[in-house]
Amino acid sequence: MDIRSFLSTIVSVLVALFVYGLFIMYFGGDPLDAYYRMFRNSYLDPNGLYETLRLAGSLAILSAGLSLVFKAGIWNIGAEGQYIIGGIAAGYMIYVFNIGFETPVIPILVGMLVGSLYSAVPAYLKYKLDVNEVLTTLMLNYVALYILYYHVYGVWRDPSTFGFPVTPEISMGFRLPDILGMNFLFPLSIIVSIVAYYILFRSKYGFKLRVYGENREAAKYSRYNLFTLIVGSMALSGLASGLAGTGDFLSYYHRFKPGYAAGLGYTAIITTLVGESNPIYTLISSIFFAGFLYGSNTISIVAGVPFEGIYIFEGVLLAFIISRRYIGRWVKWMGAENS
Amino acid sequence: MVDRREALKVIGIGGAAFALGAGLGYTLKPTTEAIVPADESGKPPVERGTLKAGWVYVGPIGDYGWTYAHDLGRRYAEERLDFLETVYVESVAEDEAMPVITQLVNEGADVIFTTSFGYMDDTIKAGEKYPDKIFMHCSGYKRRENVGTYFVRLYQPYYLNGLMAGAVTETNNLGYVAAHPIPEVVRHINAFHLGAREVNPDVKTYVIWINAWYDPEKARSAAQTLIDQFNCDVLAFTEDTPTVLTVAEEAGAYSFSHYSDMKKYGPNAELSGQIANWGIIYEDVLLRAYHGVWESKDYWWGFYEGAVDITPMSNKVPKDIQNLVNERIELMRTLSFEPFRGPLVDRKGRVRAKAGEFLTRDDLWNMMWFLEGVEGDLPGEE
Amino acid sequence: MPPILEARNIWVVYGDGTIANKGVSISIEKGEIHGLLGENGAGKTTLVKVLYGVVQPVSGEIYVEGSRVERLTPSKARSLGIFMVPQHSILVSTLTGYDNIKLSYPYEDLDDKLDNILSELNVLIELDKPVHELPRGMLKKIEVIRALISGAKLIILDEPTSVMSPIEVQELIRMLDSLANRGVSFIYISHRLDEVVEICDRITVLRDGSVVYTGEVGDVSEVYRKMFRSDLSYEKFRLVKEQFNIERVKIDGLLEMPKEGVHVILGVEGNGQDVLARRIVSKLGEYGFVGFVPGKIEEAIVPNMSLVDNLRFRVVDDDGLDYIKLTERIVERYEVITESIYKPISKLSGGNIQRFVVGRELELSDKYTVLEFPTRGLDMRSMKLIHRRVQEAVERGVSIIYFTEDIEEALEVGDLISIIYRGRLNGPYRVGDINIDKIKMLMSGIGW
Repeated sequence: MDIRSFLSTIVSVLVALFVYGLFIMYFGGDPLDAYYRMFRNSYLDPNGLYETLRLAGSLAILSAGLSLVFKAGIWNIGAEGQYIIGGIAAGYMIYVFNIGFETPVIPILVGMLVGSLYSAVPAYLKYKLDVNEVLTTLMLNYVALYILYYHVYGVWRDPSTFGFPVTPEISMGFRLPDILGMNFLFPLSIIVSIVAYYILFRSKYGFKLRVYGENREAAKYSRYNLFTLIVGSMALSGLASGLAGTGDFLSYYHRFKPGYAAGLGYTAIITTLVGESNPIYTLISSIFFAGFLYGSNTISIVAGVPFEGIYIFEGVLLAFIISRRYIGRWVKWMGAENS
Repeated sequence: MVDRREALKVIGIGGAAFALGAGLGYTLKPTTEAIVPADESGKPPVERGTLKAGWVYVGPIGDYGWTYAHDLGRRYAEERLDFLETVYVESVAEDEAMPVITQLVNEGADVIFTTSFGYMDDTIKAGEKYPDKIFMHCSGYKRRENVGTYFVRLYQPYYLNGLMAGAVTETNNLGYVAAHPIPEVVRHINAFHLGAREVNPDVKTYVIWINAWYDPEKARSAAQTLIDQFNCDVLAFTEDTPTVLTVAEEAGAYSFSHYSDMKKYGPNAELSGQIANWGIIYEDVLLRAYHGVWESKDYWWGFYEGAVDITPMSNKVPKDIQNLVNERIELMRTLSFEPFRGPLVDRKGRVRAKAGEFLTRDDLWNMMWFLEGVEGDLPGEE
Repeated sequence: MPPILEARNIWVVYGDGTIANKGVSISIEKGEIHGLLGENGAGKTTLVKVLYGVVQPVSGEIYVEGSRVERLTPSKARSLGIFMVPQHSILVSTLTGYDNIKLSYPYEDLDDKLDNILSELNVLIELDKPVHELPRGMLKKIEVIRALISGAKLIILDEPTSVMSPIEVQELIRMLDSLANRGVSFIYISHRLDEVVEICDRITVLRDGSVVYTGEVGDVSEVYRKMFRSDLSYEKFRLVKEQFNIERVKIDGLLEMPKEGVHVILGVEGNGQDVLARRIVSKLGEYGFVGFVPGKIEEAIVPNMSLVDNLRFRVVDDDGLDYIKLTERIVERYEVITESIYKPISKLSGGNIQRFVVGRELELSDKYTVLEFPTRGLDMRSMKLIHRRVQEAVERGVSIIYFTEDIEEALEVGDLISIIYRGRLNGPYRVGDINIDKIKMLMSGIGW
């Protein structure tokens, strides 16, 4: 990230905070006080920090996967679906197939594999038939959501909860332990981010992905294998999404509920764009966004802002992040016009 | 062609608008500080003279149903208790209560009300984590030393609504749009049917589950199905929107208000409705907490305590039935009458209460059976 | 009656000192289709921009229907009835033809006017489909209709047929003819002499910024002789490569390639060079690395990567290469001016990027290289440098396909020359054997 795009990221975040601040003031709150309290609850309070880092872990793993495809100019909107379907696949290894002993390892591996396959399907359609991946991945999110509902409301529903739509809690042997007082996913996300960074910026494969992302034509006449680039990167991205979905299931929820599909796969698109599709930066943006996701309740509590407020923040930020390169281009063009 | 000066002008205007927006924001900010800033000293509530209570809501306060009713209760308590400061968080997903509770505690809440069954495990966990705070969980059954539960006997007004429905139906088919197949809802359905059956022995009640507390679309199609395919002309419901009443109004059928007065959604269709006065419970809990005499217990309050009521009856309800309803209300206010009184036989033929016996609290809380005459699938039926 | 548009003694000098128009005069009568001819760089585009008010001349006068116009601007031009249909369509691709017309003429009487024009013209127009679904010929017709609806008296058509099929060209010509008979005037810019002969009443030929001919079409051979610079002493090229090795590699039966040497594909851009180049590259790619400089230089680089990475991506799987050393070598040998080879290539100027890309492809090639307009836009010195490096590559045993628009360049670097016109190839001719007049005719679409 060069200094200009770093600054434009900071400015985008500040503008979004400013607009959200106006919103807070409208509801009679003091934005600075609200932000301070949010920060305190998300990062300084031990309980809050645990939750923030748990969310950050999921987001960072999802973002690491998305970085690979976004850098290749492939718009995988399907992290949410891959997350869900990976979790469900892990669920099968626990609720349905009895492997004789309890371990989180096999459900995780199966969840990653299935998430990866779920992502490879639209990738193959793109590779073979040039089907727009934005549409297919988005649609598959809904397919995954309804598969989740089918299991939660139907076949896996826990009979002991007065009919509430939740599945039974998994037993201790399947759960992922905390590490150094942190949810398993956060330390894991650091490793995943480093691996993704290595693939993207230190390996030949990642180099080719970046070339393909910036100049499709050059990649084609340089005879890159487009199958391994398109389908491969999407499969890797699905692998990460499946890992996040499985990880949340095994380390945090311990069961499925309709709320298991909490939209992290969509938020990860924002964290990835804010982090310029660089897995190290997306780790940072994930920690920031996790704090915001967790702490946005504080804004409701101290300022009486309705829950929809967070969407205003996300929306404004996304608009700025997406448009910043156009803003940059426009500024350049204005300069050129006058020189 | 746009030159740079033009562009700067545009930016200038935008900036001015921005600044104006900021100014307005400050102007709109109320000048009178109604809310006393939270005390950071950590002294017990009694000494600092205020008590801060927080609510966790499952839906938006504008749902005109469940959450709206709880918020009316919160406002009632705030108005009545001058030591009380209240905050709330809306639309908290069932599995995300813990983060919200943590932040409420961090922001100084002394008493926390969690108002959905799905918050039960998180509320218990929070009780263990914050032993010096008071938690009240609505509609659950798990309690701890600092975690109490509360609910209202809404089946009592449902029973009264059933009396009215049985009297006005012409097709003898009643419809029921129900959220989840859980004892609370089953109890409401049976109470409604019980009332209807009392004045009209031929009546049947058809049930459709929508598996959601808040889903206007599903509620609409369920209500439409009951009218079109089951020939129902009176619809009751347990879900958190006024949708069923709206559909009844459009179709020329009858329905009820639920948790708050929804008459404006069906001025002709509304016969009466169920009201919960959560504020009565909140006032009691908070008063006790403030004076240090709160003890963990289960509040299950009804007409006797003034925690439930019906909305005014429509003139479509026959006069003699109106008299009967008013008479029953008076009896319930003095604990002289209970709807679930034997003989009660479920639709599989099992005797649930012998003649003259009442169902116990446990019977009511675990009710997963339908009375004879209630039609429709009941997942988990016993 | 005064001419619909008249320009007298137009001088245009650009910021870099180029004199693009040297006292050009032109006049267009009512109902006339006026051809404007000339090589690339002869000043046609500049002249048209002056007539449409995009470029201000340093001196000269413009008269519209007899009255002097000061400081012409595009909007003033349109209000006077002068419209421009650029080479590349500017219609909104997702809207229908009708909606596109409505965008520029959003008035109530649109439907009436449209009905009148269409019934008079008797041509096939598809107005109800999104324009991106339409063939190019149809787009041109829609753009002409759009101009007419908005009150065009004179329409400037810039290379209108550059990507059309012959049938579409005939359709367009028919439409322009019938409009001209109704009093609409056209300026018709083209490289294609055959079309110009068929459609134009009078022509103006520009060369090096000056008018060298204006008047009736007349003798075709006379016209093309005027179009091209005549200072080529091609005798000297007869000496080149007499010992030329005739062994050839065939590609798709379409093109023959010298085993060692340069095969020039000569023709004005837009005749199918890009497609041909890519086919050759992908075919040859089966035998190993093929050097390729695409016509659009931006397709050859990854802007945000360094020079080293911009070399590396072409041969990323070849572990034996020392990318840094190679990059340094290219920078030196091709006189690429950069502070560092680790800087993003987008920071370099266009000429430096182009020299780097050409150098990269030539240095990396050991068998084949395809160069699509490798010297376009470069100054004379850079051009000579690249020609020298091409010869060196040939001496190393590299076979080269070299696309150019410039006859002089073709004769200088080529061993074989083929002419490309509308996707067809004529040739190859050995450089020693060719008749330059014939090449010029072929390039203009005559003699096929």
